[in-house]
Amino acid sequence: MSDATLTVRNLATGFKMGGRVMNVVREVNLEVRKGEVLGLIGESGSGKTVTGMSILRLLPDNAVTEADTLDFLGTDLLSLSAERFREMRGTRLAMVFQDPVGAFNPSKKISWHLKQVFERAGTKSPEHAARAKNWRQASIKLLADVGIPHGANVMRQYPHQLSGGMLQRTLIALVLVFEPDLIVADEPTTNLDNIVERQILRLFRDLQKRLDCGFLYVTHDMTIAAMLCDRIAVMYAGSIVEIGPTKQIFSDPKHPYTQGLLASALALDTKTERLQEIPGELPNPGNLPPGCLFEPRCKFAKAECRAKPPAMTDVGGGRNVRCVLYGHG
Amino acid sequence: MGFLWYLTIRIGGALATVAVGSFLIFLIMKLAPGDPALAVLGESATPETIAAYHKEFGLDEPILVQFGIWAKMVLQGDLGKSIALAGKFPIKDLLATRLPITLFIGMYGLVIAVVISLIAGTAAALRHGKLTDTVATSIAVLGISMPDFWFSYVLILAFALSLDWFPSYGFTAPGESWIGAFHSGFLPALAIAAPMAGVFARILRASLLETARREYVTAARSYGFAAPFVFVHYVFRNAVIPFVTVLGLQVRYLLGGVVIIERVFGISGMGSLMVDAAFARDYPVVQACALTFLVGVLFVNLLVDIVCALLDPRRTR
Ligand SMILES: Nc1ncnc2c1ncn2[C@@H]1O[C@H](COP(=O)(O)OP(=O)(O)OP(=O)(O)O)[C@@H](O)[C@H]1O
Ligand code: SF4
Ligand SMILES: [Mg+2]
Repeated sequence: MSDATLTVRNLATGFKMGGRVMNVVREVNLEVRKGEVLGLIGESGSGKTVTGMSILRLLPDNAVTEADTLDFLGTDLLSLSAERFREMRGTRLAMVFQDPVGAFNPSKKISWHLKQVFERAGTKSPEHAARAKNWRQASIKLLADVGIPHGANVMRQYPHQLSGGMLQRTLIALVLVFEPDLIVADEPTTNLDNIVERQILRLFRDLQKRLDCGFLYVTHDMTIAAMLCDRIAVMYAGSIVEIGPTKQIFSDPKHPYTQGLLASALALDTKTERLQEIPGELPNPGNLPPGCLFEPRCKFAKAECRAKPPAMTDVGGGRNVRCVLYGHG
Repeated sequence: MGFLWYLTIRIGGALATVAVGSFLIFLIMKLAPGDPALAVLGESATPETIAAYHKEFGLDEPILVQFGIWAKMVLQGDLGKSIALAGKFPIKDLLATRLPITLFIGMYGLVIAVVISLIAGTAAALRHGKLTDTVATSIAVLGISMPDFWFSYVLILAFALSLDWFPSYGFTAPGESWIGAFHSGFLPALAIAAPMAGVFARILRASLLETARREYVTAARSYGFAAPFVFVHYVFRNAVIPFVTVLGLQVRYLLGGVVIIERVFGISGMGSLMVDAAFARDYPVVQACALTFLVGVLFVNLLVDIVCALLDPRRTR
């Protein structure tokens, strides 16, 4: 695809633990296109955060990431030195974090954060450098853009003096400072209450349209994914089991795990809470089933599911599914 | 809560603690055996002179009134007279010569401990899991577990007796010569500093490692800030708060160290004064020393609290 912002082929990430590497994410293939929101969805512990952080090289030192391809607008991210990779961050690559309170330096005022990010972004282009000189005015304007009308006041505050919603808006303003080509957002509304969550989601939608960038949106919430995402990648136990356009995934989920996720999301809507929850638990990354990772929890499991891990199969309509029910790839 | 409000409360609290603490010191001295009148007037005192003495110093009054009289005298700068040591000198004059010596040694030791621990703790955290870390951490454990008098003797043996770089005994007061004070005070200060440096370095290392795992540090990296910038403004800046807090808590142990080290190195500071006075049953002097230590510790704790409040906006703003 020529309009791909990010292409990931066969990404695998593990953590060194006492001499051996424990693999938590494997065989991840995805593509984030320009101007598109790709949702990465899956239950807690499935490896969504690790996937996002692997792409941005933000994991701790004990993480080992490998991939066949990690291409960002023609740049091979795998071959970049640490210093060259750092130059990408804060100019072209951005991350939005789950806990807005925890994402700010608690000892510094909001104005300090804005100033630093403006200065950092000033290396991107002469226009950015010019804005960095006038960072105060530019900050107030940006804060207004993300729905904070009294920016000058907010800038005088310390992070702990602001609400989660305010901080998340400010965090988005920080990303707007350098206008990245790719944003990875990791459950950025999980810690917010419902009303604020809706507002922030709308803000993300506007932001993404305005920047016309690639957007990888991590969430475990099907409803959010339905609202925000153009396409969805469903992750289970560190692998992507189904990927395709949002509409089709919702109208006709193929993978038994996707079907289960949707059923439980619908059950929440109709207040028959938890009845449809998929029974069982995620497998332990140190002790994975030999065949299909979902096999222990799958209603349709049969002998061949246990034999070897199923491959991704193209089922048409831009959709891929990892399940023997749809062929062997 | 504003910063000034916080300051007022902390100063008020410190003053209240001084009041309660000094009352306890006063009470303990009252409970000590022996009649102070006898101690002052000598064995030859007649019942009349004893009674007159009791009346003059209010010794017949209720305990709270006596405390009031004593506290008023102390506040006016009159700490009473020594009854055994130094030929019945006013205690104020005794303290005037002894206190600066102890303050100097204590501060000197504290500064050495802070400098060593800042370097060792930061190096260990930056080189986490590597050889530097192991070496620094082992030395820190050694520093903490060595008895201070034993370490003092090792220092004396090595650097005073064998190498002859420093005097093994005695101290040149800063009033006489600053260079002499820094030179002759080095080994005692180092002996006091060793265990503190070990504790501080370990706290700083742990705090740096803990802070480095915080999400705001990952966020800082996600903005492409350079590693030294992230370390200084995100990691160190936040990790130093618990470090300063522990530093304040350790000051009371500093006092225990001073008492021992002054004895080993033959320094006539507050520590040796208090020990000598205790052996001579010179209660007023012991009382004055205890009071000085109390005020000193509370003052340092107050200072540390203020520094912490300035460093950590979450406490006061
Ligand atoms: N730094 C780390 N060291 C070792 N294991 C880790 C580390 N970070 C994550 N893991 C493991 O990787 C797996 C995937 O975790 P991850 O945080 O990516 O899940 P997630 O899908 O984001 O879940 P959630 O919805 O709870 O955020 C988990 O088993 C987790 O224990
Ligand atoms: S491969 Fe088999 S076990 Fe796995 S999801 Fe498909 S049917 Fe279920
Ligand atoms: Mg996560």
